[in-house]
Amino acid sequence: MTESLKQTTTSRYTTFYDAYDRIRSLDAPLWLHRIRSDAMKRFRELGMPVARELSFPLKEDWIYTDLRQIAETYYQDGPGSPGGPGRPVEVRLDEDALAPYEFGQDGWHRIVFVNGVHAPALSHGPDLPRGVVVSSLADALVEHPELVHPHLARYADYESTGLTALNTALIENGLFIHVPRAGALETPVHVHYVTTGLDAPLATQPRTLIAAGDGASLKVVESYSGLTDQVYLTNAVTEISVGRDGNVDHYRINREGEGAAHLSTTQLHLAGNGRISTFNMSMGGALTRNDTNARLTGEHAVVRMNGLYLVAGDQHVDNHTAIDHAVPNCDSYEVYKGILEGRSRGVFNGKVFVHQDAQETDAKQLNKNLMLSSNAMIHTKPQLEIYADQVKCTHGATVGQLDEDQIFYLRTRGLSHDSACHLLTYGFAADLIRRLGIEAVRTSLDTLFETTIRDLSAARGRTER
Amino acid sequence: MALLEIRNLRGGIKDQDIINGIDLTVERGEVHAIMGPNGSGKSTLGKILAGHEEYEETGGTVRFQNKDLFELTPEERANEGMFLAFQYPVEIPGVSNAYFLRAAMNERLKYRSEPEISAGAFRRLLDKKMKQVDMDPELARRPVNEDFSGGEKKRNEIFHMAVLEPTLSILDETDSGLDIDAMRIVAHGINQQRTAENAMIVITHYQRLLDYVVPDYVHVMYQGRIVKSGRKELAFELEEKGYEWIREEVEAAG
Ligand SMILES: Nc1ncnc2c1ncn2[C@@H]1O[C@H](COP(=O)(O)OP(=O)(O)OP(=O)(O)O)[C@@H](O)[C@H]1O
Ligand SMILES: [Mg+2]
Repeated sequence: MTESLKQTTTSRYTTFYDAYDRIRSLDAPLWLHRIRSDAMKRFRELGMPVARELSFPLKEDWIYTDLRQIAETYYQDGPGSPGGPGRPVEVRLDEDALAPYEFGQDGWHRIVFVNGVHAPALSHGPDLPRGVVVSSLADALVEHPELVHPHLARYADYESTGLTALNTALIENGLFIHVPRAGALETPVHVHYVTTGLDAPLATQPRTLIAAGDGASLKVVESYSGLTDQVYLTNAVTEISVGRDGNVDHYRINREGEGAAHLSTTQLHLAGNGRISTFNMSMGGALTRNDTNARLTGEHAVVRMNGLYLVAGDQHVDNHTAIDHAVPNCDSYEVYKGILEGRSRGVFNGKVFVHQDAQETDAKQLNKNLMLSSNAMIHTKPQLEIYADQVKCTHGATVGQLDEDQIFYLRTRGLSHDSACHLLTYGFAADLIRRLGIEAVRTSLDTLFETTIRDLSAARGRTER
Repeated sequence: MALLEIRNLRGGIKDQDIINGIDLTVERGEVHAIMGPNGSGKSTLGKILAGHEEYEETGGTVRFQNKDLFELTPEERANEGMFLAFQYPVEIPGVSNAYFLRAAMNERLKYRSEPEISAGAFRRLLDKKMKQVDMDPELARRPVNEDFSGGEKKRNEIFHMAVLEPTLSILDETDSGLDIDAMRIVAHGINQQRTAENAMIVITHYQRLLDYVVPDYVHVMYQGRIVKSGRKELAFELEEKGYEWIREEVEAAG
């Protein structure tokens, strides 16, 4: 009785305010308390980016993606301490439930969070090289606060973005990786944020922090998976910092459930000669919004930022990327490809800023979209702002359908119409997957991609007939 | 029953016939060359036979292996043994030649209710066929025709033909764009595939190819019709005299 009363009479964001009160009461270093409370203050002011309530220029970034429904949903607090009202009980999963999301690779470091709660029983990995830390963020805050402190909330901007402010205010757990100067973590790390069905919509705020020191290297895969069709919210923030000559290979796979809203910010910070390759694959969720930002702060840094989105039905996927060339002689290469079926909606906005000092910048950006249905829609917008004069910058955006001549060519070799469409769709984006650095990821995602588009074309076959 | 029997075929694009009544019978073991000026309808004939949806038959009949051709989809025609080598082969980005050929091969086997080919057996087959048409193995790994040179694309068509072993091949200007050595190699590849069981229709502008791939018949196409047929000597005559006398003959006949 009191429960339902509470749900109908609470104002927006009450869940988050309550969650903040709960988290604030947990033990934490003073600096973290400060960050959380600053962030909470900002979130109270900013709220979620609900398009019609934002002012220009903030509004520009949210024009096609409306979070109103999410802002008005009453979510359950995520990683609850046991027994608190309205909080989820811990859900235990067994290995089998996770198997479909693995990369067929034993011996990786794996760390699993179920509904925001760390699941140590499912987390394991081989021995770590000296000085390397792979752990839950909560554990790291207790065991290595001095490693966390220099990086946490230093890169992702919670001053001007409401969603990052929210996640930062509610920092509680997630993945932490630290590879010290000249260290190498050869074995990939797989962090898996899983959401299962609960009796009320759940909100989690996964926080991932990855710090590679000078000359350090590591590989990491972030998976976001939904084992439920129910409504829930993931609001994730990932910060990756790579030192001089460091190298990070990063993957982000969204296989959220059908009812999910997946909001994310990935903030990449590169020192001189540092390298980050990031690949973002979005398939799940009812609504997805990814903000992927890179800041190149030292000369000769290189960022590769690729992405693939595959949506159908009423799915909505929005990728906003921003690459900030603050210094000379850096390169950025960006390719995003989208395959849109049904009544799905896609948004791509790629900003590249080349500051006045950033001479000899090489920035390439490409967004290609394949529309498998006449009811699908894409808004694509490259936004290059170049203030230096000695630069090589190119960008391009295409929106196309399957080509009849290509289909005919394949049919004259014996492929059915459906197989031809499937093969062409596969070929449209296969190059992105083929370029992935970790073989096990490449193979798994290739299979995942193939079966997904097979399902898409089968669904299309049904609606056409 | 002939392998292919075309009777008074008409057809073309929407509202306009390009093929204006063609009769042609092709028996197993035969090679027919079709020549004719630009725009006379040679490629259109090939596309209609292969089942391109943009082209429509408006009259006549075609029987292929004693089946009504127009009852079959393009892929059914292919899996029945028809093969069209394109004048302008299409690029298929992102799909490797080998991967694609295996898919095509398996569709064919499925059509014939035969089991799929194993990876090992397919690899061996591919190696053998690559040697047969002197194909650079690198091209088999690359995406189908993507960034291939003009000549490489033509050679790739013959490679596809060699792998799929069709009973009726329609080769649309496979010789154009080939250098002299490549022409010889491609011709050799074509000849190796000539058997008593299969047949070929070779569309070409140059008598040179026919020095290597010696045809049983040569036909001249003009304004969507076959206006003259003969033996291989006709090709020499055309090479020497051009098409003007053919035009005159046709016009004189009214
Ligand atoms: N899709 C089309 N739309 C409009 N016209 C077409 C189309 N296809 C063919 N044609 C026309 O039909 C005629 C015959 O074309 P086709 O390509 O069959 O000629 P061809 O004999 O193969 O010529 P070439 O020797 O130059 O290859 C040409 O006039 C051409 O412009
Ligand atoms: Mg032609």
